[in-house]
Amino acid sequence: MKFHVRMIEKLLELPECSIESAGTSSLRHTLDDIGLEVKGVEANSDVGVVFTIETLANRGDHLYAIGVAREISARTLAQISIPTVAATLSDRKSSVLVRRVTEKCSRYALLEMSLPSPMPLRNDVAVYIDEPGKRHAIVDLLNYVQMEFGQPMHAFDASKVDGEIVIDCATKVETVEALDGKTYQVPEGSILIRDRKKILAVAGVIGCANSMVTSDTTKVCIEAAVFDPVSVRKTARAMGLSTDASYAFERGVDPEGIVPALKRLVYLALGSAGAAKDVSGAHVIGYTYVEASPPEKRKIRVALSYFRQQLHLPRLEELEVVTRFKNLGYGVEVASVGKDRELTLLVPSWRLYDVAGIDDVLEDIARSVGFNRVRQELPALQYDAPAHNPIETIQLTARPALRGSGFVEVMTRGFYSASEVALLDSLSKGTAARHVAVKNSLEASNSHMKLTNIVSLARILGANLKRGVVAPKIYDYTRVFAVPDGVVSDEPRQRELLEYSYEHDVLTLASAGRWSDSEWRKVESLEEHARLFKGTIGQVIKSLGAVFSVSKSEDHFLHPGMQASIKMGRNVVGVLGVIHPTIREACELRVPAMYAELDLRLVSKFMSKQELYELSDFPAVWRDVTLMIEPREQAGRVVRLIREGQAEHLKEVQIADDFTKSDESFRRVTYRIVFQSRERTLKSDEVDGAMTKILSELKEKHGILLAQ
Amino acid sequence: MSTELSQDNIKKLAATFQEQLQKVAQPSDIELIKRDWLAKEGIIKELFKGLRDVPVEQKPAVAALLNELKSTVESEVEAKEQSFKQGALRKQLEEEYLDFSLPEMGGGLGSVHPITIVEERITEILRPFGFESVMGPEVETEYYCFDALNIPPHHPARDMQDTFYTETGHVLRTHTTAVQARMLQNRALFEGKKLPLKISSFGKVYRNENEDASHQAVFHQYELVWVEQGLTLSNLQALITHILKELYGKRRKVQFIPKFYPYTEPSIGPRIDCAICKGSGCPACGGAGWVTVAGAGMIHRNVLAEFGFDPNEVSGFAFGLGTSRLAAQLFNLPHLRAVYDNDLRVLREVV
Repeated sequence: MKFHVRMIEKLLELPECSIESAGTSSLRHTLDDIGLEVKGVEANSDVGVVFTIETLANRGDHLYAIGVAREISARTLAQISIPTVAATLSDRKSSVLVRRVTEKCSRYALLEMSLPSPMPLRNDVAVYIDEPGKRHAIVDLLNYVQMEFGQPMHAFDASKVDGEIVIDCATKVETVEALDGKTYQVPEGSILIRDRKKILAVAGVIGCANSMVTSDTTKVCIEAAVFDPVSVRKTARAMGLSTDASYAFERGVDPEGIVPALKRLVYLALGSAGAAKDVSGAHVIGYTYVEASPPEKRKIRVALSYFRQQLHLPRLEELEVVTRFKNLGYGVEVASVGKDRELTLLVPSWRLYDVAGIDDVLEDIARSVGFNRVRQELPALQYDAPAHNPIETIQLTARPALRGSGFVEVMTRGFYSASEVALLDSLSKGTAARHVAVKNSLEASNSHMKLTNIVSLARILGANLKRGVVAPKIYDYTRVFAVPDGVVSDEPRQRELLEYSYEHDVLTLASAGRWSDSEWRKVESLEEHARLFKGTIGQVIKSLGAVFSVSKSEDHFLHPGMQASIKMGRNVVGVLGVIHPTIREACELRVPAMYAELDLRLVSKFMSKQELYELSDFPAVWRDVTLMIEPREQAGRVVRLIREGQAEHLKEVQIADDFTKSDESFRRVTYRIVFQSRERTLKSDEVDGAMTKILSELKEKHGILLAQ
Repeated sequence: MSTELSQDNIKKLAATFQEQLQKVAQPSDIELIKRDWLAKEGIIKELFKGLRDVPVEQKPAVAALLNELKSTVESEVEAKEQSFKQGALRKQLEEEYLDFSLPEMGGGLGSVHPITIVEERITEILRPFGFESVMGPEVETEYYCFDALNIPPHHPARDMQDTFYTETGHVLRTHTTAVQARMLQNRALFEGKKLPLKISSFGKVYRNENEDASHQAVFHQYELVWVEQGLTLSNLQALITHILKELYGKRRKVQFIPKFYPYTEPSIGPRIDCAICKGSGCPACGGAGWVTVAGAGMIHRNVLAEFGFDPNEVSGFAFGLGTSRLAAQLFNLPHLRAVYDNDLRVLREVV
């Protein structure tokens, strides 16, 4: 909202604020400090200094000058001078009857006035009005009084009001033509102001064109009311309209503010003549006020010591506390209770919306004293710091391995667009249904929660290759989302509180282009790149004190012939491979790229504390054998088969070579099979015996033959 | 060798050796001399074998002369070898050259994202206070995201425009405070309301925004909750000041301004002097010279009561640090968007 310094200056003495130094003035800092955060500053000799301030969402009383002045006076302890108002309104009832049908309007006042013609706008008012003279002066005056007193008001041309004013709720969707010339659909349940024949206004939001005040208007019905904040908010949202009036009603207007605002209006419109006819004949014709019940008189009892203890200000004086509360508009009584002093605070009517208990009045006193005056006391340290949670432990432990391998951490968003989901669905039918869809995204790119991170990382690789990064290697700890199979209960069972069904934490990695930044180095082949990539995954898993193996996989988002599942123990914990060409193309990634995804909750089950073991003092003995392997078979499978055979003294199995002769339809893969004993040097015939057993098992059980 | 061993002969042999040595021109020549003179069957060994035939009275003098010859041959051969080695090394050093101004070829170190750096530092700052790090879902129920946190159905924060609603009937959490609700309920239902409750949690949060340079639909928060008897506003402000000073240095200024959040009362907004303009006002801080980095406050009594904790007996505080904004301030980034651009040319520079 706009905050005119000159308007507030009429109410109380302000901290320093010149036109030249408004942006850094002590007034600006005071406003920030009391919760009226300054977001913009304008200053010129015509209007003086105008601050744009961001008000607190629960403080309707911060939207007008007197409310702001109260807040400043509670801080600076300066006294407020309330603007002059007319002594009375009128003893006569308005000629237009008022009927309050709905409880969503707690009070309603109607003031009938005849206006001077033409009606001039006072200069001391015009200076605060945008484009003065564009509207009838009475409308500008109503707006001005709202700026001062916070009470939204509306003027109907009295000659266009048929007989009575009825305040009720729409029983169906209504169509209205509003003051702004536009037609709106007003939802059922909205508060409406009607006469006997038509809708005159959508209460608290906007008036209708049919009763608009024009330059010919000489008699008006001024409405001042209190409408239900929630109802006004719902109506305004449904109409897609936010007016000064709706903004104020949504935050709650003072239930005792109607009469002072109308008196101020009368004073400004008719001068000190008030209800009497002025020289032009303008005068108050009549006044009607209806209400459900008088506003609550809410009292809060609180010990002075409570404030001292919470703010750690043991010398906070009773006089200071009482003065600050009074300047905020509270009624204050103080009594002795034991050794303490107890304050009984009568909550001001304009604060009934947000002040309910001692925490609220603590906030009031803290704000007016200044949060920066609170004496800070750090809570005690506790030396038995708890362990990290498993996911965090993986992240912390694996990051050095990723960093050491040259991988850069990126942060992806949680979303995919509908077209990205369609892309994935084209590769794997049914994928779209597994995505968690967003119902109301304002951006098309945010329509679904991502099921996999592959598209996000492919896009990042593509963008960075375009930027000239020759070796993009990236990783992202993120969440992926999927509609779970079966019914998920949101009941607060412990498992659901600590875990969750629609998402899981993953570590995702991707790389493309060169492995190294240097363009002097020979570009790796795709196979070399893939093996370096796999090496990084190996380093990550080794850093967690675990080992992994690979087996065949069928991930539809990866190249069908260039992928593998990552296994820890017998469990598949992830997948790695070359990104499917269709995804690559969609992501404008012009070169083949690697991708891996590891499920961190599964990985965490295989983490172990690393332990060192004593080396054997006896030499290792090895044999190299070359086996015939099918072209699309995984050479690593044979390693696993040999290990599972558990030959005596078998220490390790390595792949030593992989080649194909031009005239052969199979691959020749050389395995180095290493034996070692912890007790003695192995004899040659022992090793030969073990080898015979291994080769025989490979042949008989798995059909794998020795190459000739 | 059949030559009679005498002093004259030894002297002649010594002269011969010197002649041969003079003729040495390359390392292979010295190998020939070593073979002829110093090998098992070489001249020196043969001469020593002949010593037994020398008459007794001449033996000492001949032996002395022979030892002198042996020593001379050995030392001069070695000297010659050294000379060749030195020469070869000198030549090698003169010839060999590496230009270290050429580009390096190593893979290079990767890097950690600025937001992660901030999260890890805050976690380390908090550990001595005993905070347990927990995680929570991003696809959340309205109960944990709003209802349990004193945000009634009509609150603006629940508008369709601000909150993402999913087809599964959930919301995308708008704040990490939802984790607070889960942990309070967990402690109340399954852990006998054991206190203190000290938890921290970080991660992504979502707002249904039209995105531009200053509005992101996804950003990061770091939540902290402490519930115990006797906690005060003073404790809360002190802990936030401690975190920010540890993160940015003791000279950084910290202030608190009033805020409103439905789930805290009183509510405050901690802010720091802007790193970009040093407090003089710039676009990064909206001209204020200060950047609000968190939402904080004493946990609202309705939230405590929701889970069966008596707000007259127990108090607590909570705050959500904006890690994206903290990272921007830590690395002097003028726009939050730079944190999320994933430009490796920038991210690689983060140390």
